[in-house]
Amino acid sequence: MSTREIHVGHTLDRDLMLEGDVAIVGTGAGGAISAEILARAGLRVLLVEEGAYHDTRQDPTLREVPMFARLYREGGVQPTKDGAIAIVQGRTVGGSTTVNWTSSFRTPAPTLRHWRDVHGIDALAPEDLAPWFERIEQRLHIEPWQSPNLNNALLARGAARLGWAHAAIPRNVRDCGNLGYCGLGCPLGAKQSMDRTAVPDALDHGAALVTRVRAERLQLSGDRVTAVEGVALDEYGVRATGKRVWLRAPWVVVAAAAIHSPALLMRSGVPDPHALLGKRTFLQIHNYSLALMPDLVDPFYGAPQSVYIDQFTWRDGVTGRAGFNMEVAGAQPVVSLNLWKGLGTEMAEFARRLPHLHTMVSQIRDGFHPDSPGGEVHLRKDGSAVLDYPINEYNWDGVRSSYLAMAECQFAAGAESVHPACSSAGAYRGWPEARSGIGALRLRSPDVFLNSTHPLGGCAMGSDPRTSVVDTYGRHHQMANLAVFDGSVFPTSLGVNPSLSIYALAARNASALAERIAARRPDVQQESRHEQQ
Amino acid sequence: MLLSRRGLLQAGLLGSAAVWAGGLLGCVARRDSPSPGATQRAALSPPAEEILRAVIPVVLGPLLAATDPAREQALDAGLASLDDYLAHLSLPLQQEARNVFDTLDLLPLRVLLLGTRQHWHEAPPETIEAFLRSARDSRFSLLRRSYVFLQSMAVLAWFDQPSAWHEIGYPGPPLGPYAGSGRHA
Repeated sequence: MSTREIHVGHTLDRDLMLEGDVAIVGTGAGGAISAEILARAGLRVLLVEEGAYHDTRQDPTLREVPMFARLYREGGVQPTKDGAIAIVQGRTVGGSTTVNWTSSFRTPAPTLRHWRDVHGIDALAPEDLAPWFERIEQRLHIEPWQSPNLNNALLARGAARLGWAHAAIPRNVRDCGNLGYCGLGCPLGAKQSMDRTAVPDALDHGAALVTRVRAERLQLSGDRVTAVEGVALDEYGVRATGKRVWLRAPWVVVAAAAIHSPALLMRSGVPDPHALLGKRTFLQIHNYSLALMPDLVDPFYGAPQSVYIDQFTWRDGVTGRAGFNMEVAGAQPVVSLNLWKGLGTEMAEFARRLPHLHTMVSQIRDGFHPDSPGGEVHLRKDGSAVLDYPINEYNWDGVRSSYLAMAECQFAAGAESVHPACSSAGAYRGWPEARSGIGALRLRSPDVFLNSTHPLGGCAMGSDPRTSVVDTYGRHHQMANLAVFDGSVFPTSLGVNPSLSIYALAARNASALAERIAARRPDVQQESRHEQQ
Repeated sequence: MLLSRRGLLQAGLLGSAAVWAGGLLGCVARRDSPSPGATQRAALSPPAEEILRAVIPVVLGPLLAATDPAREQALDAGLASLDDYLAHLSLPLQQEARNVFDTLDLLPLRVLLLGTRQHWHEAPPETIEAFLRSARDSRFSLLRRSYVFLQSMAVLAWFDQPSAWHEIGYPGPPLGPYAGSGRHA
């Protein structure tokens, strides 16, 4: 293994120009998997990442606030335009994979069928994607987790008593210590996140990585991207240092995730003849239900998510009312208690019950119904991106339905009281009281705590350039050498955590890109064949 | 009367103040230079620090007894942690946060929201609690947003402090410099 080539933005004392075969913006699920495949095919890959390369094994403070500040975009609370929803995205090498809770689901078949029927995507049937899911599941050691902590076991108990469909969650871990601090970056290096797997592998195959550099724009010439232009950032990742970085390559892959991939294309003036960029951005909005259990739950320890309830995801048909899946949210004090907007004595009384807290989360799928158009990415004056996502009746219906289902499940699991994470909601002592209380609850922002760890869409894929930004291989419809390999290409939300869907689609599309380049480059083709053996 | 005149005034003034705060505050007396003995902050402005020092003990109630010197140290540590957190936000978000604090610190706003000409650090806790409760339950989303913002700042500042953990039954992380005695798996 030769020395890995890493350039750190805030230490650059002069402008930097790198040349290679493929430039990739972003090191998350899409960018890193693509980098690994392309580098292993013998291509010189250039990666640029806005965050830092933070080795969470070397610095396991396991304190929430400094880690949110350093590993997440906007401290984990990137607000939508009206402030109603906090969007959680990683901003570190490995992107959101570094800080996610490891839940790794295949794209649900109803979602893929909907894409075929409504969005004309016929190349992504479950059987088409199966080999790619298998490849990633092997690469990242994705297996169902069989030893749930009590937080998750209570979810399973409630579901079993109600006869609701539930199952173990597959997780991308190897020798997991079951600590429960996934959201702060794994302190053991057990999570098979991109910073631990695909990024180092790409670096060992000759890729170069530039950290702490924000991709500002793509330089265009006719129908080609000629370079990625970035600005080096200071140690906070906030202010430009004045140094600039150019990545020049005949192929450019954008993998800066939903919101920020479309924003990069918008800032760059990439052709958008049908005004689609940044539109149809989905959040799979998350809402929360808190319960106090007689048991000592200790929700801050153990694999955060290992059981899910699939009873309501498609309950009213794919294009019907907002469906949702349900999991638990097990986390440390700040994340757990930030869901409770109490004051004074009531805040103190609640906080003191933290070891008995059982928190459920629903992820309400969007984008499948005509009344669910999602949000739109806007650019601020300084070029940064903000998502305008107006919450409508379709969303609120999903919020109320999922509040009801979560409360019913928590009482079935033995809860003493249930408290929807809504500042105007009361404490319910039993299911009948909760049913009428939640039924009458006034749902409005910002009283209802809403966030999203699953921003998706905004560079939708499809075969028709009038309704999509990229084709089903992620290739831009108007630009000849530009591709988008990340969660922004999904035409709807998914109904599950998106990480495995992004890995698998990026693996498929990056492999196709490698083949395409190899067809013109005999040296690459040989390398590619060698690596595939 | 559902819609009180004072409520309308509060929302209207807070709204226009929020919009104009940036420009307006350039013209009025600003406390740009920290008072003697104050800590130099990366992101927290003097009004922000003053308001948070007044609000956090009210949000946390019995969890933070203001007279206890150890708790005072924890509050200092919490504000330092919060300052570091805010300093990692993008400039538009840092500016937005600063505008909220600057607006809440304007004299006409203090008179309307707290019902007093006193500065935040002079206002009694009951006055601040009454303001927070009315903001939480206000019909105006801007006031409710102010409540959620201030409450969240308190949560961020406080519950990550090791000295806060015993009171809430969190034994601390299983490893690293802040490892607790632990009952983890």
